[in-house]
Amino acid sequence: MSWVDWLLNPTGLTPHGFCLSWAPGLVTLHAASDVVIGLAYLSIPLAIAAFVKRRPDIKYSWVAYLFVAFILACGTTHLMAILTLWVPAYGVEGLIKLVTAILSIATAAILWPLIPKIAALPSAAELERRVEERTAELARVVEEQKATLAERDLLLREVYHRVKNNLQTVDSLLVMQSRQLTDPQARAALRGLRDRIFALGLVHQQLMTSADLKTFDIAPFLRELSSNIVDGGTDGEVALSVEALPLDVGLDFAIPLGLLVNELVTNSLKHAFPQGKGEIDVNLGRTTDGELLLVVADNGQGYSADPLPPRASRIGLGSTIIEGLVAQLEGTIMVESRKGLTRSEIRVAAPIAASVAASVAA
Amino acid sequence: MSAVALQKSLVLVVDDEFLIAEGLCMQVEDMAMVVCGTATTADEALALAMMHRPEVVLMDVRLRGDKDGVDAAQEIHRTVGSKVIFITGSREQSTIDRIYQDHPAGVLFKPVSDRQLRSAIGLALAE
Repeated sequence: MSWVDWLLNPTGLTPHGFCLSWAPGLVTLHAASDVVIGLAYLSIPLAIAAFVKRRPDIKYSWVAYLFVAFILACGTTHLMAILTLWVPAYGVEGLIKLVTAILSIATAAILWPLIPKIAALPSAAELERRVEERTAELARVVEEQKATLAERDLLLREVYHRVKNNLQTVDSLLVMQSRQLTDPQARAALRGLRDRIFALGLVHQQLMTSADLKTFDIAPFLRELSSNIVDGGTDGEVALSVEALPLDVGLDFAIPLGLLVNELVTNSLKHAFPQGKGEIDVNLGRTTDGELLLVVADNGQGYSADPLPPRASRIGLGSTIIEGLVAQLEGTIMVESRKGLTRSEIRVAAPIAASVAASVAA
Repeated sequence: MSAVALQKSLVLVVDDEFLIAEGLCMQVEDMAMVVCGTATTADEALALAMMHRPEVVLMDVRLRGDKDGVDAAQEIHRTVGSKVIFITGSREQSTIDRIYQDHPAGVLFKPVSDRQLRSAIGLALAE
């Protein structure tokens, strides 16, 4: 007799019902109980498996699958017990019990060392507490950063305030010095310096009122700047028109552009209108290529009719400043002048990254 | 406002920085107005205002001492009735709010150009 026969061949064995003397009550009791247990032991592991599958975040889920296997095996032994009431398949039943035994002992052996690990897993209340703690910490950091930002804004405003105050002091010194001078040319030179300093001060004024303390709209700035030059230098007989596209700019762009407008408008005012009457146009727009186009034009007498040698006014301090600032802005300048129209056209790359660059730098 | 109307108007300058006060005085004098004095504190400003009864006061907000320009302006406005033009380096909202607690005849921000000063004084006197 081979061991296969020994296991699988029931010949010579009696079914379990024989031991119960086929008493209908006992057979029914055993069969019915094993059916119920078997079905329950099939249902429970399926439910556990379904649950674990829906919660992939659960730690040690492999233990649950071990339970699934062990309970399934238990269920099968009970179903086999029903079969052996009538069929003496004790070999197969024994094999299934062996599998169940291995699964059971494995589960039992693994469970004990696992207990401290599973017990160490944070409870829901603990997790809740940690989340609250973390949230509070984040809120504190946000508050701190807000305070730091507010402090930075305050410091920036203070700096702008001091810059403006210092410029006012410089302006006062120039006014005082101007009083000491009798030479009209020297006084005019100081007047020119005061206008340039005013342009610088105006930039800081705009910065102080801007929301981010870094950028401001160039349009109102150019308007105020140009009006100040024209109204301060004439008795109101020169008409000024300023057109500018809305454009947020930073200090680095506004200062050279403001000084350029200051020089060009001052030039027109000084040289174009010997009769003191005329028109000056300031226009800041965008070319089709996306470049910025600054045009300062007047309808005055033009260079050719200038009583000074034609080029004299082009090599003064004003021209040096204009050429230098155009180069600084990496732009180009074209000037045309004839009787009735003097026009300076400056093209520079738009400071698209004005606010972006500033925030990166910060 | 023509330059003639400003002529001989009496102006008090209040600023605790000598150079700025001096510069403002000269700007005012160049417009053919008369400076009756300069003050560096709120109390001094009030005393000078009561003595000279100026038509216009150019008032800095931050002053030496406990009281600031707004305190001085309120007193001067109440006792003498001068038009007060604030000249401040600050465009901070808190400062602006404080200035408007008084009834400013004008508010200018440093640096102040001749044109701004002339038109502010013109407007104040025309009120």
